[in-house]
Amino acid sequence: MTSQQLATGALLRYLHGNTEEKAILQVVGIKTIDSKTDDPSTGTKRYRLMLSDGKSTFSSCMLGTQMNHLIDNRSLKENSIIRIQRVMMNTIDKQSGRVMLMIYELEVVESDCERIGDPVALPLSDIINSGSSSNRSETASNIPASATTAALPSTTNVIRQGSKALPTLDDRNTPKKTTSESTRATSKGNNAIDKERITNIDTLNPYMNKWTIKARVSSKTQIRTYENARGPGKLFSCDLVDQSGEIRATAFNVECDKIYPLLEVGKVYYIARASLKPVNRQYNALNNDYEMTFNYDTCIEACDAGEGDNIPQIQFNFIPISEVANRAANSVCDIIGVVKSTSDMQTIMGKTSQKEFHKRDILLVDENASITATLWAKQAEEFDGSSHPVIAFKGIKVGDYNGRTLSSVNSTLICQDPPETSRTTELRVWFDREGKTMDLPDLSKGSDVANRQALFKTLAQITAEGLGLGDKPDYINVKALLTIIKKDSAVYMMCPERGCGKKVVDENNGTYRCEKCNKIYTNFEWAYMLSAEISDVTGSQWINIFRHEAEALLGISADEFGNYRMNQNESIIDNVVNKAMKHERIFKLRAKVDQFNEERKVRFTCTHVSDVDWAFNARRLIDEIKQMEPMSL
Amino acid sequence: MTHHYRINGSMIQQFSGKPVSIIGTVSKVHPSGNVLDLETSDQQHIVVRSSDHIVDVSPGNIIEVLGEVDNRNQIACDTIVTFESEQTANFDMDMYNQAVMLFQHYPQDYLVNL
Repeated sequence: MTSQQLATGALLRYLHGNTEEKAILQVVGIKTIDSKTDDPSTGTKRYRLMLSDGKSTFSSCMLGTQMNHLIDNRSLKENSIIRIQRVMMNTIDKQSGRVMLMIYELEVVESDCERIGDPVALPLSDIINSGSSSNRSETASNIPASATTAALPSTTNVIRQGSKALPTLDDRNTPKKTTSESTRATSKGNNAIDKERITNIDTLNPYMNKWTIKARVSSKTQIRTYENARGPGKLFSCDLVDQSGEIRATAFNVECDKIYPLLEVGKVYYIARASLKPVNRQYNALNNDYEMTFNYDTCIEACDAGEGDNIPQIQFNFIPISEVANRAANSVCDIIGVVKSTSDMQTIMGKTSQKEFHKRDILLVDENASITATLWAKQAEEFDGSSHPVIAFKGIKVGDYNGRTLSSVNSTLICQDPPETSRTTELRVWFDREGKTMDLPDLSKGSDVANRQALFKTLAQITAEGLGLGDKPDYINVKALLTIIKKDSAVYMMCPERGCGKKVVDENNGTYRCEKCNKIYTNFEWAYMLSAEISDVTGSQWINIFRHEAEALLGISADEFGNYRMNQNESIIDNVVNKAMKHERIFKLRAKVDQFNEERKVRFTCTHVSDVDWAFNARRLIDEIKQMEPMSL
Repeated sequence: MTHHYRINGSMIQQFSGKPVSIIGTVSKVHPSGNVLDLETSDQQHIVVRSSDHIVDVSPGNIIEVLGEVDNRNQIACDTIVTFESEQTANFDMDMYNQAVMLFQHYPQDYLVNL
């Protein structure tokens, strides 16, 4: 029989944070935990104790390793009576209310002993709820009272380290929201949402402990189901904005079902306690390094009417239209511009799907450039650009058809005359004043001026990619060699009238008739109309070369060439031609479909000839090689 | 003529005993007239020994050396190719070095013995 009395109720008192008490407890279980990972040097053991205060037991008590020797030398064992000298309480998991006691210092009062009483495990609810249990009666039926072991009266709850599971005094004083607007995602009450201290969305990071944001749901997806290795699941996402920025939040499975009906697009909510993790750029192009996941803990509360007015509807990250030239195809961006013109609704047939698509093209302009944006389906049908409104797109896809174009996708948001940005007024004023009549470089047109997009292709690629077959002409650069020149038809007799260019008929009496001008002339001009074949390692192609380009190629003017021909200086002509065929050049070609007697054929015209810049060419090749490699060299 | 592998300084050891071609900048011609120091396209310094007396080569010139790598990691060269200054004025040595590395990386795509 023991003369020791255990401190009844002490375990609960410890678990509620009152760790000053030096209670006498009994060890009812010892378990070894291999903590190789904790202590890499020695792989020290850690002992886990189940302690009893005579009435209750608690099993998550870790013994400080400095006390290990007591167990190792058998002075501390099962049923030993100990006096706690120093103890701390730690919260492991606020969600489930799991806590543990760290015993840093104890004294073995009696090593060998018998089990005292019939203690039962503390219920979790008692651990989580404070107050009620601290008033439990000191005397239980079979525990002898003793003055030396009287438990200290419990003090009122104080703030404990990391104890988010336990409500604090502050929380109990916060008035609960009773308006019908209030919706709560969890049953934990208001304790998480601190309306006084709102955090900006752009400062959120995974290492923040407590935060509350006040944000508007700018968009929300449908609930989507998926399957992965762990089985089926579902999710929905929404974009949240405040004055500082935006962030995407996703909810899965249970939370998905719970939260989806709570959030309405366009409304403002207080949100607290969600997980943050680095953004997955594959799915999320929002301007934030992190993304949010709603979890079991997350608290969501609707904002009162009027309280959320200061939160913007949407967050834009506009780039100037000219910048789209530098964006990769299939990337998304935010764009704002004025609608200069709108096409009619067009219906096209999907090549693969055989479905009909409705689309509408709009010409969007800003101060420095213009671009074609395509709207689809409902967006196309509902669009009215007749008032030349300012249109902003959020998340519109960049395409590379004929330079650069924009194409609306499912997730693209269109806003007409958005109030959130000063760009709206800026563009409006600019357009009305000068923009209407300005001629701007068009990123979606293949004109020489704006077309910085003339890519290098091989002759085989031109045929393979069907360049020139589209509605608009394609401009291509080729590095090739002149292999055949039709020198006999290199020059023709041209009408001397400025701008006419038509071939004149030689009347053989010193006069020349132009059928286009309907006049007779006594002279004519020689003009180049060169038909030549160029070749590179992949193939060859016949092209037409006129005027300046032909002159640059052959090195003599059309007039000189014509004279040599007239004088039958064949050898001089041969020299000229052979010289032109000696080395490679860069040919800039315009490829365009020509309808000639029901025959549709792509015709190539040389718009520019230049010598090869070898260093530039080498750099281009190295870039192309690098793009083909899976990893960097 | 046998195929000479285009290499740079760091590849010399790999090509010991093989016929190589190295393009670089002359840093010094030894007074003996048979040896020169060459800075390769990857900025390494190697020694080139010529069987004949070296002429028409001065420091700063870009030249091509054809020869064999001997056991001292020097080049025993039998031919030195010199260039006109107009030809080398715009020569991008770094680009050449990248090309040389690509040749080694993709030997199956670098055609020789055509």
